[in-house]
This record gives sequence, structure tokens and C-alpha cells, in this order.
Amino acid sequence: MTSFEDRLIAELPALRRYGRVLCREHDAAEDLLQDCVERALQRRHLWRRPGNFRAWLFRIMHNIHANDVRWRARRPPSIAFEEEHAGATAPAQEMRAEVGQTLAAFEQLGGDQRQLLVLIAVEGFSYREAARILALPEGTVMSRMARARERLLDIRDGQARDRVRRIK
Amino acid sequence: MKDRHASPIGLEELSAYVDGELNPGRRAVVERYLSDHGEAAGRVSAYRRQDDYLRQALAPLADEGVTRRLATALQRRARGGRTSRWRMAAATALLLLVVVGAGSWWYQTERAGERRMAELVHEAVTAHMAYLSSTGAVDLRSERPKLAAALRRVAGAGAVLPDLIPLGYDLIGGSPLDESAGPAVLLVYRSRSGEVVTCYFGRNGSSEETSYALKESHGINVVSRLEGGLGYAVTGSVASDELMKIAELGYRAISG
Repeated sequence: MTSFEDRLIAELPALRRYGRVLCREHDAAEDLLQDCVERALQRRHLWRRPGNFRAWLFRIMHNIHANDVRWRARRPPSIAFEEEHAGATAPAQEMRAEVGQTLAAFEQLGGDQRQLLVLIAVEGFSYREAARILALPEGTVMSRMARARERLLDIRDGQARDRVRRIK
Repeated sequence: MKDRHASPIGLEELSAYVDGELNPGRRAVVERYLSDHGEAAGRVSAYRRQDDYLRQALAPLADEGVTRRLATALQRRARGGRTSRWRMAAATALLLLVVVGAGSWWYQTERAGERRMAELVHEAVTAHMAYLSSTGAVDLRSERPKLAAALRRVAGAGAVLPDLIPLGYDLIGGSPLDESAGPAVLLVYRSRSGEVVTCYFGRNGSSEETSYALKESHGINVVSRLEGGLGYAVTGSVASDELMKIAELGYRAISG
């Protein structure tokens, strides 16, 4: 039988990615991941239904993030121990031009649209699961997802036009 | 044959089609429409291509060292089997510390005194975090004598439980701890406004003597000192000058 911890470990990379999309900023995202793991461990006894473990974890992370603004504002800026980590960033990846352009366009989207795209297009959640994670009606998920896709295409079209203009 | 009278399919439905969210009936309708309408079909492939680029673009975010360290800490925790609630909470807190980097600060420190101090801070913060993440309420009337006895074992026969009431903090709990360096005890105090401050006393094999040192990480302050084989640390999310007053008052209870 797979333990709770094993299942949690299997989801860490995806959770971390979602945290980065929620927070954008590296340190805040690491804090969010830790808080999420901590909360999941505390609430393991509340975890029952099989099959939706991932959605449960993502919902925990989403809720912490949503409730967090007030709490984080109370914490003084931290110093000392973590300074050595401040410079650590993701290793540079070789990316195809289209992929890099898509990422640049994605960064320009609002938080709601980024969350939807990651949950559905990247993580493969169903509209129903995404609706539960985000506490939205399913119909809203469907219409917002379509708008997010269109917006991303628009931004990339804009990038393409800019490139053409520079070449001319 | 072209079905010129089919009502146009909206972008919302095309997007839902890409996500596999349409029921079989609608899916068949959309597929028929796509085979007839080049623009809509182009849209669908643009969506799919874009999703694919997005997956590639975000893949690196899901593959970094930090989650491996978290995973190792969790595995250790899972292998630990049946352990007390306190130990479980301590393991959880430990993995937090591993990630915030207090651990690496400790290992990088070379001089014995600094190393001992870093170890003390590490243990004290771990115990503090473990307390914050544990949920069990303590019956203090039965615990008080046990805590006092544990403190005497660590800090000497003349030691008494520190009374922080003059500074507005009541003793609400604590626990004897068995650290690798020797016996230790954590005492937990809470102010009327709910701020939790912990006093940690731990025996260690060293003879270092230091004055008070202040460390801060993630909004947690730690005041610590070494006193001939005894490590003393006060931890809390309160201002450093207030924490220093608490540390000084607490220290009187063990220095007789």
C-alpha cells in the first residue's frame, strides 16, 4: 500500500510548480510549498475519498495562498539564514523560441488565467476538479478557460507583430 | 457534403473540446463542424500547440532540488513508523528547517563554539516549530512537576520553572526532549494576545561560554547563549528586545 507520504512526495514537483505560478516570486513560493505540505500532514485524517488526492492537495495550496495575504504582511522581512538561498534560481533551460514566447506571454496574464491554464492545460485537471480547487462554478471555469486561451494567443500575436515591425 | 446550416460553434466549446470536456453528443457535433470549417479547426490546433508549448515552458519549475530534499525528509518521516505525536511534529518542523536553510548554516559552521551555538538554535527552533504544529492540549497541573523535574535534570538541582508572568507570559506546556547531545526540555509560554514563546534548555558536552546572540529567520527570533555545558535559547515571533527581556528573566530561574 502506498503511504500518505509517498503520495504526497509524488505530487511535490507539481505542487511546487503551482506555487510558483501562484506567487511568481521564488521565496514566497517555497514558503507556500512548505505551508502546504505542513497543512496536508496535519489534515491527513481528513483525507478520505480515493482518486482525488491531487485535487485535495492543490485546493489546500490554493486556499493557503488565498488566505495568506494578511498573515504574510504581519511577518517581518526575514534575513540571515536564507540569504544564501536568495541567488538560487532554476537552471537556464534551452528552449525553443515558441516555448519561450509562450512563457513570456503567460507571464503577462493575470493570476486567475495563469491558475486555470496550469491546472487544466498543464496538470490535466478536469473542469470539475479545477472548479473545486478554485471554488468556482464549473461553467465559469469553462468560459474563463476559453478566454485565457484566447488572451494567450492574442499576446503571442502581438509579440509576432512586434517582431515583424522590428525586422522591417 | 458541407453542412452550411450548422450553427457556428463558439470558442468556449472549442476550448472545452480541446480539454475533452464535451459529452459524446456535442463532441460528435463539434468534430463534424471542424471537418467543415478550416478556421475553427485551425483554432483548435492553435490551442493544442499552445498547451504543448506551455507544458514545455513550465516543465522546469516542477523539477528542482528543493522538492527532492522535502521528499527525503518526508520519506524518513514515513519510515519512522509509530512515533509519538511530539516526534512526528518535530520531524515535520525539521523538514521545514531543512528547507529554510538553518540546517545548511549549521553544517557550514566550522568553529566548535559557533557550531555548538548553531546546533542549539537549530534544536530550539525545531522544538518551537514542533510545538506550534502539534495540536494536543496539555493538562498543565499534572505536567508541571514533570517539567520541573526535567528542567532540574538539565539545568541543575537549583533550577525552577521560569516565571514570566511579570512580562505577561503564562506557562502553558512543554515537554522533556531527548536530543543527541543530551537531555533537553522545552517550556512553552503564551501571552494574553496569543504570542507563543518557548524556552529551550539543553545539555551538551561543551564548555563554551557565550553572551546572548540573536538570530532571525522567517519572522522567528531566537536569543541563545551557552553556559558551561548548558544551552539556553528563547524562541518566538516577537520583537528582539522583548525576547531579550524574556530570556534574561527566564535565565534567573536557573541561575539561582
